[in-house]
Amino acid sequence: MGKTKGPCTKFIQKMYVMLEGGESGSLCENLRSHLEGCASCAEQYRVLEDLVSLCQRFPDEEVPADQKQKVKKRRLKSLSATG
Amino acid sequence: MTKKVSRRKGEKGKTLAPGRGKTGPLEKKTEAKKTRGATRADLELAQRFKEGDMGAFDAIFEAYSGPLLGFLTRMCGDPEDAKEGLQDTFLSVFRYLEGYRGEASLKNWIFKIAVTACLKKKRKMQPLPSGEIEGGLGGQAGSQAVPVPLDASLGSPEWTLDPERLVLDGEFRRYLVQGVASMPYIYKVVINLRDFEGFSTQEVSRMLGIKESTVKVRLHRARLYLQDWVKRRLQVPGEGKVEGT
Repeated sequence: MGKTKGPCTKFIQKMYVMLEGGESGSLCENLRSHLEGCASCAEQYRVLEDLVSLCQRFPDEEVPADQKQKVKKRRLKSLSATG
Repeated sequence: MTKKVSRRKGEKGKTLAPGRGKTGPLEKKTEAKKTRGATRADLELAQRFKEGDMGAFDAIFEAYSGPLLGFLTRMCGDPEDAKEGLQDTFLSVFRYLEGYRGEASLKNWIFKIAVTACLKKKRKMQPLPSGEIEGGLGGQAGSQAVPVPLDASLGSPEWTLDPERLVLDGEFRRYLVQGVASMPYIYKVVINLRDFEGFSTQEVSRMLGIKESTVKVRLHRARLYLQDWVKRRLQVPGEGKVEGT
């Protein structure tokens, strides 16, 4: 597969701003119109958007049942140490 | 996992956590835009604890231990270290909850304790570089020699993410956790708090004692790093095909 043109460097930072909901209307407008004409940047933006979405959906860890007991033990130990 | 993965964290969870709702720990993460103060439930829990009700402490553990363990696992990269960090954090919560005055939400207050615990642990292991890190993700991180694929952002992705599906894949989740854990501290703590835990930029800035603009720069670099990390996993070498679609 041939190497394709990468996203345009100057728009990478703007993607961050747009991902965050856009702090500057004109900046986002500028990026939006660029994305319509640049496949690489559009792809880059979509991937970043998906990545953020993936992070946001990431599940919490299951806390092993013994952790609560361990905390309790250390708590009691701490109490007895401080009198 | 403690929760179903088909919905965002903010919309799931079996138990009603203290302060749940707009400002609770199970809040939809993307809605976090501003700093949250203590909720009535936070203050009530703290008050019950001050009056000697250990049930209040148990309720706090139930509500926050899952998110905290996830956060600590991504910070440490090692499940056992993360569990130790969880115990340390809750021991500190127990010690200092009496002094909690509700200036920040309980969630923010507890996560700040966890961040401090991580930082202390990190300082024990290796000294932090002084000054601000500029340039590449690992640029002047000194001892934090991590492969830094900053220019990854300049190559065409040529692959597709499917967040709904990938988040269900345990092996992929472990890989992503390793990706976050492999970043220098200043980056992983930001992406962990901002993207994974849903704190706002302002909240992260206050928690870490850095400027909001610094949070933004570090978050952007961390995302690009993680993008490259995921890309390496999903892209089949030489084929341009994608496993993750």
